[in-house]
Amino acid sequence: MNKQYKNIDELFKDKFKDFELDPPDHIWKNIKENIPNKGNNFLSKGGITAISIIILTVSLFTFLLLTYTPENIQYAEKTAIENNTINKIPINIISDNNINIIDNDSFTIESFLKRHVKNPELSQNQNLFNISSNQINNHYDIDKDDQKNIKSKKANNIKTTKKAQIKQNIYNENYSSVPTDNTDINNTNNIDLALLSLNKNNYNKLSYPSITNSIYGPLNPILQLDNRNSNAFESAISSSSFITKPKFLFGIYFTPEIIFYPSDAVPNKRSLSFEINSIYQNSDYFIQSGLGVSFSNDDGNYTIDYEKYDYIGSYEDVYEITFDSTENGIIPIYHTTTVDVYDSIRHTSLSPTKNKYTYLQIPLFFGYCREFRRMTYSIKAGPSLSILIHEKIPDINYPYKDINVFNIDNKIPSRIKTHWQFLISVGLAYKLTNNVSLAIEPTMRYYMKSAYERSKITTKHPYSIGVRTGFIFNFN
Amino acid sequence: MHSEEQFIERCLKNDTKAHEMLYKRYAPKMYGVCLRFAKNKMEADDILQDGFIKILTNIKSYRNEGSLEGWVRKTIVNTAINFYKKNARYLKDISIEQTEIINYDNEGIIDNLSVKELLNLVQQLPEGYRLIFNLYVIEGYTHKEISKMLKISENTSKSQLSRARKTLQKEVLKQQKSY
Repeated sequence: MNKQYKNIDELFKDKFKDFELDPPDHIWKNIKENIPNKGNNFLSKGGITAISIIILTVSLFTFLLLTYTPENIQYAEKTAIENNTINKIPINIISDNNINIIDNDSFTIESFLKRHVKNPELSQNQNLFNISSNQINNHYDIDKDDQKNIKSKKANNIKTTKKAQIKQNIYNENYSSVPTDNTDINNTNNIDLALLSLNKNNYNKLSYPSITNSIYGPLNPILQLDNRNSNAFESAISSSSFITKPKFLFGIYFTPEIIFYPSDAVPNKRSLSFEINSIYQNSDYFIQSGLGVSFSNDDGNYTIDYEKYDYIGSYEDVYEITFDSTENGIIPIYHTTTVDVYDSIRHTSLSPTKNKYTYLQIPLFFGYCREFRRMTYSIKAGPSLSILIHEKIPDINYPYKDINVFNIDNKIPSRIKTHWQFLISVGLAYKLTNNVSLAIEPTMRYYMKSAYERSKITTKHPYSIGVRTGFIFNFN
Repeated sequence: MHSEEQFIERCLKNDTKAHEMLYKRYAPKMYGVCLRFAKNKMEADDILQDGFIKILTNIKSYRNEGSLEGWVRKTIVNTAINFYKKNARYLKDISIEQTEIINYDNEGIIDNLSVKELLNLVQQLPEGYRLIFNLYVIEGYTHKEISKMLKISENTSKSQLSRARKTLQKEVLKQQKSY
């Protein structure tokens, strides 16, 4: 039985209460493509910018703090502590022909001492070998009892300015006996200090003439003991294994980046890069280059103008007229039928699309680095060339099948094939093992030319901020 | 079967499957709403698409106050309103007829019209009539709320509703007579 309603409101309300209809399938497809992927919160604009700024600031601050030393000699002392191999050698056992025997292959404390101590029995004396880096560092106050002696000896050393006297004193001490207690180390203060300077950060800068004329003044008398010694020392330095050699390193990097177009309304772009680099390092300076691939994409819309055959309304078609006779006369009765009307209607539709691009990247960096314990701090800059090697532009998703398309406007600007950027980066590398370091390098990239065709983009020089992270391998 | 809380939590975590589930759960009902507000099927498609993009993008703004379906429906209705809002300001304040609702005390309206036929009648209404009729009669908003939403006067809302009713009544009677 048909339901009855009091008024029009009730009728519509009741009928539409549970009205459902399955929407066309393409709607969900369009929705899915238009939902921003929030899964990568880590790579969000704010996140990357904040991390980059923090790392950049901390790295710069630490770098400046470490490289700031008012007196180089302090630096030499500090770094020498780390170089135990050299520091543990008591210099006063060096004989007149000892240094000649230092060679590249077999330089160890034990072998060195066995060969060069005057009294072989004393080479077994553990006191001789127990000179730790701490002792060396603190050798000005080794023992309370000895402090007075030390002070007096120091005072004597200062007073004795004549080379001949110094030479004679040290010569006598060196050639008379091997030290059997810590106090004897004080006799070696001067040359000890000189050798302390021959750590891995400095030895490459030194040669005999530079030592004799360097700020490490106290070494001079020792090295001038006689010509034989000085020549031997020079040859030893020039041929020893602790002179730095240029080295090759390899790096694998992963870099998420955000690219900013400040003069345009386009949303900030993201890109991901993978790079393999080789690094040629000579002293503190290095050149880095390699190859990489970078992936980026553009989200946008096609505006499609089309005509579709649509329902536009209906009219009542009179198919018959009959006449009815009444008391008032004849009344015409119109018999009608509803006719639907269709016509080509013009529509405009937005079709979302996602274009994907792959670039080959060729960077070339020039940089400077410093090591401090397990950390290496670096700063580098240089050009990078990007070459578009692959682009994937999906087909246009038309809203309906049977439509007459008369205009398609691509709202996404085209990308150019090659463009240059200038990169600057501050790096921090932590030595995980002797051969592998973990590197984090906040990077800023300044585009010499926009990656897009200028006709649709106002920004002439976009820039990007990214964090290069990766591993550096040392196979030397 | 997931509870509503778990389901919402998954949506908040941008779980794609949960998004699809949400769409599949509510899309048919919301498509019905869109069809009522729209002039034709294509406009309904656009409203539904825009509405669900808003829902899935801003699901974090759902505060568990009221049912999820209510929130989804409100978002869809707001999307429909925005779709036609630009034209709503041109709605004219016409005189309100004395009899706003004709009651059929004696005979009543017999339920012999299908939903599809009624939908056709609503879709044929002028834009302003259709919008206000939907908001007032079906969605249950007051004239005050409608006037705020559309930035029109309450009288305009009332007069548009009155016209809509009159047109629909006329059409319904016509349809009934043809049976």
